Amino acid sequence: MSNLDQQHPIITTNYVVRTQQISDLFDSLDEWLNNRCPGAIIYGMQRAGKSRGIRYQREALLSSRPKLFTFHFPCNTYRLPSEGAFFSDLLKAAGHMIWSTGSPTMKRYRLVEFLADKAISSGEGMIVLFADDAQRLREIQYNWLMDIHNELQLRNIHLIAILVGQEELLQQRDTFFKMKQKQLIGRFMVHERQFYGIRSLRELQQCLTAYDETTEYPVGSGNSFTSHFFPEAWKRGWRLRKEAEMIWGAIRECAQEIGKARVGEIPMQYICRIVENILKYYGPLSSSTSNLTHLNFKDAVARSGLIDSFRFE
Amino acid sequence: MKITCLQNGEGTDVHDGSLCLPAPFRRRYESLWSILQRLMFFNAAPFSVIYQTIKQKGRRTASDLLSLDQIDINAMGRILKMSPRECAESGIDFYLGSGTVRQQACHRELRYCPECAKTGFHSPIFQIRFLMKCPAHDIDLLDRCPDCRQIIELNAKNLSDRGRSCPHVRVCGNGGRVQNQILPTHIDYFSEAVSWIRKAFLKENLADMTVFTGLHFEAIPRAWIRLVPSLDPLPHCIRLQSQESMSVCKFSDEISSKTLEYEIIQTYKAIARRIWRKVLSPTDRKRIFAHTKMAYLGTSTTGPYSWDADILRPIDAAYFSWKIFWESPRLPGDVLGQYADERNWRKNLIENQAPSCMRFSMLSGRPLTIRDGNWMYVLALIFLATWRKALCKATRSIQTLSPHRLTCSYLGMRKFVDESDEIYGKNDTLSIVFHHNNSRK
Repeated sequence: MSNLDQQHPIITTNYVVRTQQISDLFDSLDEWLNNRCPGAIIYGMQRAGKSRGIRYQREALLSSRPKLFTFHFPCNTYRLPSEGAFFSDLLKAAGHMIWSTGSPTMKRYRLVEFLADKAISSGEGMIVLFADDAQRLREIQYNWLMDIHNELQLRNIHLIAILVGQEELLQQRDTFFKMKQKQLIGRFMVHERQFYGIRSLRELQQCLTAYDETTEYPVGSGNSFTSHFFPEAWKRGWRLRKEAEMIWGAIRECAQEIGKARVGEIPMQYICRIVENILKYYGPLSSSTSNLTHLNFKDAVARSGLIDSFRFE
Repeated sequence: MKITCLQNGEGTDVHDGSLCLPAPFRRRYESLWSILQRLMFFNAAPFSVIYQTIKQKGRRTASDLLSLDQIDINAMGRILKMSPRECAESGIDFYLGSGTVRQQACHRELRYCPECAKTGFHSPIFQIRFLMKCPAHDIDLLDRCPDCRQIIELNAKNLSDRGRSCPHVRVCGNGGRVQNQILPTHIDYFSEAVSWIRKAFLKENLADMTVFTGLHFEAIPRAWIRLVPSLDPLPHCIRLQSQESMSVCKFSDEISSKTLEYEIIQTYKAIARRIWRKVLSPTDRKRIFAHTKMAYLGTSTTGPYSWDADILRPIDAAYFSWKIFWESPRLPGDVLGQYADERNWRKNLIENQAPSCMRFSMLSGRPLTIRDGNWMYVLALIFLATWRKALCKATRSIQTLSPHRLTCSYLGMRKFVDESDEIYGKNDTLSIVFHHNNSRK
């Protein structure tokens, strides 16, 4: 395998497939930004690809609004939430060089100045914060975030906090509602959008179409991931999306083998692994046809770990 | 948008992080000192932490905030999102170059324009001695706090974390919130002055071709304006020498001041060696060498002539007197320069041969003019003439008939005495006149 192949996104798994729902999510995000909406929730099941989705959304935003400042804030778990650690994490995520030094007050001040500078210099007047695993945030941390939001608001800068996490986020919102912490809900939790995996054959076809059409490596080569691994078959008109039914069938068959009668939502991570297995193991560069069999697909599904995950649903 | 690899978003942010310096506070020609002060303010961090991010690897302390010698310019540019040129504008090297003239032309204490200070602005060019006024506001630059009258050293200790306050806030507390208004016209005025300074120092390289013998470079030599027409007009904020006393050797022989100084020292050393080897006997040399180890030398303000005759013999006193005369103040070239503007300078120089080191250390520095003649030969004669004079004074046995004809048969100095007429006879100008391309003897 050449060096270029070793760095191929299919090998490194460092890519995101633009599925229909990712495109829809971007549309929602764009609308929230246009409305200067202060915050929103994106929730979904574990391993659904939310974190990858954030990275995609950030890059997509960079394409549509090149100067907009966005940052990805991984919400870390602490035994006791501390102001210093919270602002350190935010500073680090925002890209400030001095994120660990100073008192909490200094860090708070540093963060506000830094974000204000970024917002003003971008000319957009807003900043987008993607809080990953936001279900880990506690009430006090929401309050600190609200302080930052308010301070920036005084300078006519909008902090748009997109809370990305599991369905617990909705429970958190209900709890805040019961506790009459409506200022938090009003700021960060009014809008919501579900992030889901693959739920049907049609969605799987859309996903595989993305592998065929919207991917490219190396940059500017015009080669999709599929054409890279099945060059000869690709030239003869073979496409991965044509195998969607076979793959879906293999998934259902594997599920039935462990006693699961109905396949519900499949996290994107496993779909990606299945496709990667197909491309890596059954796509020799010299083959003129795909030569894929039902057994190959079943093998790819088994290698992906999907069946094991079914056991814990 | 086609999907390729995902950018390493988080990693990029963290490892290539930046500091906050808002755009309205990024101003051209602002000094490192001023930028650091603003970084401290906007990033709520002490100097030591800020400095860690932009210093060169291996540096521990920040001893020089005037130049960028201790700063990693690439790191500074990356962190502050500034171009290398913008970074360079914050150091004095950008204006004067990195030669030795920088030491002579720059104040080490903070100089500032009171109006610019209200906006928290300080420029490296304020530190230049021959810049007497702020280019933008046309008012005299200050070097002390107007209230407490204290001098403010340009060092990290005096950096204020209240970055929007005037620079002397740390000393007297006289500070307050200020506007960030630097008008475009102000920058234009700065550009004009900076352009002139860079042209003179970096493009024409005049400083390197000029002999500076004073301690400080306080004013622009008139010769620069006279001989480089493109330097006219001189910006009103730059001080010009009141009279032409410093000249440029470029126009006669293109010899740099560094080369000239080297040549003078070499000539002096040659004469010193000659005296040591040919004039002093081995016994004299042993005795003089022993005296150099004694503490009483160099401590008397009245010089060798007042020393106890039992301690020093006349020739010893003459030797020390001569050495002190040429070496104690600074360099032989400096001593020559101190007399260069005087009428009958050669005669005065030889007549005034040092009775003490103190006397010469009190002389103000004078520049050295170079025009024509065989300067190596002239210099050698001057060094020997002063040696002879020192010897005459020390022995007190000289029969001074006239300043033009000194008789001193002691130690075979006759030859040099005869040549003294030639030396005195040529003092029709006030300058030592050198030509690089002349044959040297």
